Amino acid sequence: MTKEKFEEIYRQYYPAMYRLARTILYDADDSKDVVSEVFTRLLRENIAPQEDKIEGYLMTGVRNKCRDVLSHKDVRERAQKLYLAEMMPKQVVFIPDDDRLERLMQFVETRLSPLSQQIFRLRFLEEMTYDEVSQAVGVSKVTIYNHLSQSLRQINEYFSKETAKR
Amino acid sequence: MEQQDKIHLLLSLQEHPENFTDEQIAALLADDPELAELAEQLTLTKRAFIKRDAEHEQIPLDDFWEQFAKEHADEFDTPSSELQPRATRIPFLSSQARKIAAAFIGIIFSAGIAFAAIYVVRNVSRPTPQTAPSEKPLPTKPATAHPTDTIGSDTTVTALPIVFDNVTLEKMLSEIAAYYQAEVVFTSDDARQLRFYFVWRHEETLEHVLNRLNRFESINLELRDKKITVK
Repeated sequence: MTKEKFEEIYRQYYPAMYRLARTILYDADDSKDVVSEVFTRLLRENIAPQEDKIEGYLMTGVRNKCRDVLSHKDVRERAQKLYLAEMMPKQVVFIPDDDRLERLMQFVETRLSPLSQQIFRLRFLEEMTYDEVSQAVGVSKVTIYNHLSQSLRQINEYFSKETAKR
Repeated sequence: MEQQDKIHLLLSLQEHPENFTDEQIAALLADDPELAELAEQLTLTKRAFIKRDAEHEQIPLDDFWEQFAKEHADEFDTPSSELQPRATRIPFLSSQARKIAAAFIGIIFSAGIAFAAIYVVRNVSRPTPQTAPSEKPLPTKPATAHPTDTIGSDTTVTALPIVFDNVTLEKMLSEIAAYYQAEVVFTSDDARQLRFYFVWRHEETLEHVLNRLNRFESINLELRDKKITVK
């Protein structure tokens, strides 16, 4: 592929690929690495995919590569960091579509209190300990725990209704 | 186990995985579908949060592209207009050069200073020594940059590419192989005489050059242990 053609593809698909990798791997640097690897593979492909197949090629490439990266993490790290596929051993791995995550986030933003959302974020995204979250937010550890546990219950209810709808 | 207990277990599992062995974690999740479901839901929620964050993230595409293009500078193809196989012989000299050559030929006949003219023509086209100057001036190795503007001027490549214009596959491959210290084996004699227009840059890997050559329909090359087999 020529440099000009490749640059066009790179610029067009990079953001979507990066965001997909981020929702699977969470880590920004890991995600960038995965995207670069997938682009490198495309560049070295003997026969480049058809124009209309490129998006599928790239996005599938990112998913597979992410799965690869996760498969090298041990069970405990997966449990701690909440990586999806491996939390459910022997179950069918599926990658939820954007839409599903979008609806879930809308639920979280409208139904969980701002404090609950903040605590969830600090605990699970910033990976702070209960102590650190407690200091950052200025409430007791027990309160932190109650918020997290309440959030999980609400999310579980949300999913029960989602499943019932189908 | 009540739901509250499961939530408690999941939270402590997630907070202190070091208190559990890999097997214990795996067994807990495998034995209790509800716990696994809760874990999945928690995970999906984290992903939903991350997705929201990533949507607002600024991606410095220009920097990323520049970096990527730099790291892979020698892997891009030359523009496809230069990759077309040409069935018929294409005159080597551009029309301008041909005019100059014609002028020299004029000198040969008018002044009879053939020797000087041959010398000049050789400098222009660099034919192999055996080639008589009166024959078509077919160069085997015009080691000059092709004077077209199709080679990106912004590329970081500094060495001049080698342009094979209407050169037989045999000659082309032997020169390329020599550079990479590889061996060439022809399994069909027809293939030797195929002529192509091809641009080769020294900084390409041998694999990459062969991959590009393989895109010509009539070429089928295989590389194994520094041995190029032509089928």
